[in-house]
Amino acid sequence: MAMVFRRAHVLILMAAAVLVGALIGLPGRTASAAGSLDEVTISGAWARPARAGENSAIYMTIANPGPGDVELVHVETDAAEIAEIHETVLEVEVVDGRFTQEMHMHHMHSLVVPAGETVRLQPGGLHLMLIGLKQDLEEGQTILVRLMAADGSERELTVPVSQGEPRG
Amino acid sequence: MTRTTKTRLVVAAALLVVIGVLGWVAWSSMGPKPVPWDQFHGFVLQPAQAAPELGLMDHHGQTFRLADHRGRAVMLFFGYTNCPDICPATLIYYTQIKRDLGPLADRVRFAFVTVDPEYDTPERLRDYINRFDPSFYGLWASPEDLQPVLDAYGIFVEKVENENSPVGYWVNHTALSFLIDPEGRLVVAYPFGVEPADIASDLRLIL
Repeated sequence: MAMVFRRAHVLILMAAAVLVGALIGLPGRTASAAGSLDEVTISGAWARPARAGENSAIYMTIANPGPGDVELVHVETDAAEIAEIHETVLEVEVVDGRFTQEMHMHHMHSLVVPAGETVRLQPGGLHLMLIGLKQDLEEGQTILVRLMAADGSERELTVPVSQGEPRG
Repeated sequence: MTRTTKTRLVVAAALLVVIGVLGWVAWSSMGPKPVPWDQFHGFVLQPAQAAPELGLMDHHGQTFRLADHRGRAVMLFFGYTNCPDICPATLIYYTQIKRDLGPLADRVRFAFVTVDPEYDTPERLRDYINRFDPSFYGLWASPEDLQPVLDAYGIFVEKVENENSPVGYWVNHTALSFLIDPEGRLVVAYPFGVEPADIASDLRLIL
């Protein structure tokens, strides 16, 4: 299909994940004192509805007003066999009037929320992937999720199952 | 020509001018306006061409043709039911667009074409679509019939083995949402991540 684009050759790096990704695990990055999950504020958490046996994902916004980087290293929930930190990277480009796209999903060993910054886990970017659900996740339910950081701190969250970030 | 006749003619001419001006004002404020394409939030496809026909089976077993939905806009996405992140998020965004549009949403069709027709049977697709909104269309075709549609829309599809997937693979695919206007023309392609409220405001401009 011959398409002419008003905004041709626009490279869109989808997902703030790319930017966030650049902040994560960069060799030589000066590590500040290990921050604790006790310092962070977590808001807008939601898990996507799905059936037992399938996968789902948890999204949230993590703000770290504390003095140290918080490194999230482990996620657990009774709702799924495995919970991992994942990142979808999506690049859309228009070349010679045709769309090209690269999409990857990475499993990440940790996620750093730098001191004084906020990291958003959202569709098309960073998310906590739930692999092998042990139960149906129906809208209106909640699941219990435990986050663990490199300094040994933990945070337990009650996450609503919802079609998108809960409003209000 | 008497003075009275002259006055009448002047008055009549003045009236004609006033009516003309009023008509022009009314037309320019209430008549059809050119669509402000530069305000759209995706890739605007210009000149707009007729959207390639789909002719796919919907999740009720009926044939879905774009030609049957003239007068309504169509939001079209290609995905698969085991898609871990982008596809369900797109359908969630579609539910938000629909809510945002209110009664105007009756003039929009939301359609999801599976790019994995071997695994996504029409039954599975129906179950999947109903989780988001039963008014959405889940579209299916045999791999042979699907390929020309994928080609026509420039949809790239690649299966990649992965042990984390419930079925052993992910499908990398072009994650664009296409906007087809009420005249059946392909007018905008949205990359994933455009805010639902922005797409809803675009839809208001063409409905």
